[in-house]
Amino acid sequence: MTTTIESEISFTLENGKELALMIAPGVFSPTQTTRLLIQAVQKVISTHMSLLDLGCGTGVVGLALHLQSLVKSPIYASDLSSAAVHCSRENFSVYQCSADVREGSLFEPWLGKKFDVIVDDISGIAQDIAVISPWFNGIPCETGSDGTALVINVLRQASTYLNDGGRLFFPVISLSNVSLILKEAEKNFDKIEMVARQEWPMPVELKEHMPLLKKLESEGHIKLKEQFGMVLCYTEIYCATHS
Amino acid sequence: MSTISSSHVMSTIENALKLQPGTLLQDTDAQQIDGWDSIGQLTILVALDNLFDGKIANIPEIAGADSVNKIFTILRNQALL
Repeated sequence: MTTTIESEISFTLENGKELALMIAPGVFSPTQTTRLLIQAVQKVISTHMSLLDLGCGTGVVGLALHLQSLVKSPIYASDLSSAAVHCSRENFSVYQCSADVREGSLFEPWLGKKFDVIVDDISGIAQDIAVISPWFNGIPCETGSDGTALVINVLRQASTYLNDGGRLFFPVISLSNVSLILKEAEKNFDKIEMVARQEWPMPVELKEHMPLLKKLESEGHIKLKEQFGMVLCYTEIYCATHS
Repeated sequence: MSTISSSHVMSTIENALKLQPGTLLQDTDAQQIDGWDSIGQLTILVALDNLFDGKIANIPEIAGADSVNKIFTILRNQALL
């Protein structure tokens, strides 16, 4: 299958290094959550580890960690989207990063494999919000009305794919049912630690849909906070350790 | 009367944006500064809220203050400067 690479985007790492990334229609563009996720992993991991970049999109998470010399070769990465798999392979190749990139849903491509670190950057916001958000642009987001469906699946399966002492990094966004996700994490892991947190103003595109957002909030699906004349959301990055 | 000076406010904004002292001028606006995006704006407001003991959080119009001048004007209007 041939995938058209339509454009190149730039992604700036914390150290100021700019990554030029190929991206195609249907491939999730790195966001502030991606950036926070990379920063969080960098903060916790100090040695070479085997890495699975789950929901790899452009491959930016694995690539950033590779460039910081934090991961063993090859990097493992997967995505549901064939276009994302194609883009990741291109991007890893450009940066001479050895990678095993596979197409498939969640852990499906990795049966029987184990990793030291799994970084989960799959969709984690309520699907009704994803549709109206500036981030998805038609990319499927089957996360359910409270945004938890995919991440809960990851939390239930991740231990099977982690070495002893291995770690799962996952983002939790207030545009999903945060408490439900954390309860599920506690059920599946002995140790869970919040390693990064960032508040951010809700984008204009979402603020235009306040009735829907208020409804989701009243149903307990999301959390909103109003301060400084802004509607604020937050992203937290958790590290769950498999003992 | 506030004991917080204009220069203190300016350095608070510079610190929030991780800028070198003296980078910002009265007529500097967000578009001229890397990092003064929506998250940068929130970081500035949180820093100012700490500086002014929680008196900034409930000023709705400060969300749109995307320049040094606009921030100072709002602070003066609120008798915080």
